[in-house]
Amino acid sequence: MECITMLQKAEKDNGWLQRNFERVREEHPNKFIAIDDEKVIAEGSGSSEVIEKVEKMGKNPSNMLIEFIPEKGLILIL
Amino acid sequence: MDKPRIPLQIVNDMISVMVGVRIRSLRVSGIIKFFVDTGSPESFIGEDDAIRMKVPMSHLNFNKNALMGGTKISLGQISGAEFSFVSADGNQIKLSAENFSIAKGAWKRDGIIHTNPSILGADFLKSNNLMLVYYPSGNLAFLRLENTKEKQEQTANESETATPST
Repeated sequence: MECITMLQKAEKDNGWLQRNFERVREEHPNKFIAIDDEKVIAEGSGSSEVIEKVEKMGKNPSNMLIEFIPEKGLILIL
Repeated sequence: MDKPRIPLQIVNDMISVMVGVRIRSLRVSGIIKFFVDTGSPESFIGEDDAIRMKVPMSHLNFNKNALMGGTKISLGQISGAEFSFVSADGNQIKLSAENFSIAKGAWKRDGIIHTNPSILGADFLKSNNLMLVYYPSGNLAFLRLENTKEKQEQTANESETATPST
């Protein structure tokens, strides 16, 4: 897949997460999740656990959105 | 002609952008979500993203330290990094950085191991002549590609030539 196609797909998945963040947070609080084609395809307590699950599905985690979902009330500050 | 723009996402008042990253020297590539943070003088790829991209961490020399939110992180410099963005009109914009780093440093909270996110800092914006436009109440943020250095030098030279000698 071309870089721009992969980027557009990742942006689409990121947009999906933004739009569905509250629901995703209710279902996966304090978990790392992998998103592919606007779906949560794996979750885990650590990113390495999620990467492993994604690889076992035969997918490439390098081009996938893997995010930590903080529980309600916990905000991320840089 | 309008200058190319890179749209940014605003979530919880934090600005981020999806970037295609290729590190030639390490032969790895992947998609990374960077937070745009002008409060950071350094740009780097976070440890989780680096591991996901299969960066061989043991090959890097983490000889620089930084404090981020009170947490000490180590930075290992990489060369030959290329960055691809999607412009507002759907085209690919390729940028590079002579100096870029991979961050290493983790902390544990409630049994969960966290690492630093990937950051596009002021150094990246400066070296690539990017202007950040951020209008929070309008939910608008984008990077605008200003003239390249060569063009700026050319413009400066033209100005000097145009100045009448005394």
